Amino acid sequence: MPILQKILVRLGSSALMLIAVSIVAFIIVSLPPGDFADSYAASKISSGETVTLAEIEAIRRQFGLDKPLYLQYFKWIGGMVQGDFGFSWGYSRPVTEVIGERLPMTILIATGTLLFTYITAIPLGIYSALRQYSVADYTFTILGYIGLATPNFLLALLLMFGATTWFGVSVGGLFSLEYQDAAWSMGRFWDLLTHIWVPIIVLGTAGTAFQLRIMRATLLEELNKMYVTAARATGLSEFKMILKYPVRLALNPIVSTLGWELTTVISGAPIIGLVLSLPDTGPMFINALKSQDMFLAGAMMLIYCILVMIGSFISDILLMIVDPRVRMGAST
Amino acid sequence: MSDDYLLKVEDLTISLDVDNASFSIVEGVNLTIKAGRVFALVGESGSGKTIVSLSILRLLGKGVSITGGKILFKDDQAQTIDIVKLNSKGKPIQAIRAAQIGMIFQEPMSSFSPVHTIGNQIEEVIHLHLDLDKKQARQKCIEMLGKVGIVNPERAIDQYPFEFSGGMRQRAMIARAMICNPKLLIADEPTTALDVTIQAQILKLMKDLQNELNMANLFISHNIGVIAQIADDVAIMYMGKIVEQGPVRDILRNPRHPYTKGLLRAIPHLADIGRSRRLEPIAGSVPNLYERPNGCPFAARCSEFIENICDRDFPKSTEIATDHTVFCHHVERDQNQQNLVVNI
Ligand SMILES: Nc1ncnc2c1ncn2[C@@H]1O[C@H](COP(=O)(O)OP(=O)(O)O)[C@@H](O)[C@H]1O
Ligand SMILES: [Mg+2]
Repeated sequence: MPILQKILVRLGSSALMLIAVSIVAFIIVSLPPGDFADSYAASKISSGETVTLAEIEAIRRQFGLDKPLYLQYFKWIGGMVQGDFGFSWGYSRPVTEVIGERLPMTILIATGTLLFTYITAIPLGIYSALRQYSVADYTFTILGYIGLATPNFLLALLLMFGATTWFGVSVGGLFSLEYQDAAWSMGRFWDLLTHIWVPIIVLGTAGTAFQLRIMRATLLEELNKMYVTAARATGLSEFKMILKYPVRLALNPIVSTLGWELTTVISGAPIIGLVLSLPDTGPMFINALKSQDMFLAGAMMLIYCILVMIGSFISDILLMIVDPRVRMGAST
Repeated sequence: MSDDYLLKVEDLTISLDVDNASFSIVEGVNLTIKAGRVFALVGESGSGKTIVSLSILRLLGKGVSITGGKILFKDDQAQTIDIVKLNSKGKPIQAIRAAQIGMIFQEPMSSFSPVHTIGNQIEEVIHLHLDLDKKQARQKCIEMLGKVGIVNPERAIDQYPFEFSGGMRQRAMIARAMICNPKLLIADEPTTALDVTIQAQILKLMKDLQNELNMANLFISHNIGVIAQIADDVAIMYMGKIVEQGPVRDILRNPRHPYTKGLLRAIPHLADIGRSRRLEPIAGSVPNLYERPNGCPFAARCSEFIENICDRDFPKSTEIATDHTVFCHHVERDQNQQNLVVNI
């Protein structure tokens, strides 16, 4: 079963990758000079309290910060394997809890962004290619370039500004005040929908523009191929022919960039989370990095990497589904 | 000429739009294809053969369009349809494609979608035109694959084109084009892209199927040598114009146009192997299409060129035997002299 074999190999290499990533993540969070004990002392002193050296040493010992780096790593990763992600000093709670209550929002935003990207880009790209050089095609092209060229944070600020001045609604965060801590209900869900489109548009615009260009270019190329003329010669209607043959082939590059697209979304999300004050993992991650809350930052970094790896894994599997040449290992 | 035709192309002109200019790449072409017969269209590469064949099914690409003439087709209800008048994306032409006129293309490697199985792409044609359920369609497809000489058709039907060799793909293409039993099969250089031994097999297959199913065939080739084996009638094309046309025996025994003669001299003969007779390719090459000369298009390469005549007007058609016509000033002049002699 070559397909199963391919998937297993792919999983195995993902696991190796994960180990490598965990080492890198750990080094990155331990890299800045000083440690949590230092920044703890700094914050105490700045609020007017006094801290003795002995107290700082005690904190160091308590968290094992006095041990060599590699021992710290093994302790950390050993705990991870058992589901213990360590303790967040900043939040004074276990890392699993802190991340657990925010991660679903991050996943929701990332999934929503990808859906938005593909649901918009694929039909518009097809339309642009079929009506090449039409007004609509030029419009999408221009909007696309603007979308690609606008930095995400600027787009976020513009959207917030626009929504507040013209529609009088505040679109920061993911919930209105009254639903902030309410239990889930239809009302709360609707409230979420009225907020979540902002980060989705902000994070998805560049990707949509990019995928639209790819779809258009690939479809135009496919439409010139001989198999299209041969399919027309069977008497298939133009619409069905285009959907069945050239569009199907033009999906290849779209599918193979899925993992990469998710990476862009995930790496762009924290800053946008901060700008829009979203209750997702973004602002938490940035704060953890700033305050050297190393277990929280390290765990989050690892989770982001896992999300990206899942994305590219799904992309590979989808590519095998849409293209038998990939599935059967034929040279294309 | 009699009226018992299946497809009749009358005065067909096809133009190419480049920027704001328009060039005719096929001019004033007349062809008559009779039911059950093999009609060969022969000419060097670039002479416009593919363009003519695509126009019959209204498959011309962007920027290429029919600008004059008629393509009359007698459909299965004995109605005469002018294909030129149909909408190229409409139902009537779609009902003709594959059902009544099938087509095989030059490049078997690229005429199938690489991501759909062979069976899927052939069964699709059955579902479009015949009233069969899924199981029957699959059965018919397997039978057809067997008929075109694909070994183990039960397995082949679920394979992808990339698992097939070039010859196998061309066989599958023939199956796809003939599955609905069309009255006319257009084969655009079906063997050009294949190895010589495979070429012979495919030619034999097409000939057998044509006899068995009593189909008419528009067979396109740049190789006049193949024609003797397969065709009943021949038209020789040069720069988008027909220069000589007639029954294959007449053309091979008594070629009259200097271009036809040149093509015939350029084929290797079995009898010549081992002897020192050299092949004589026609001197010069096909002129640029965008600089179409006023007179006979072949004038610049012609050994029998007559100044002030051949470079002035395109020659009129001269009928030198039943159904054998030539477009050549030389032939025209000879014929006039003969008539003169007869009249005296
Ligand atoms: N889409 C096109 N754009 C530009 N030129 C074309 C196009 N299609 C055909 N031609 C030109 O028309 C001429 C006839 O082409 P074709 O019918 O393919 O010749 P043949 O099949 O006899 O080799 C060639 O000179 C070719 O370059
Ligand atoms: Mg050709």
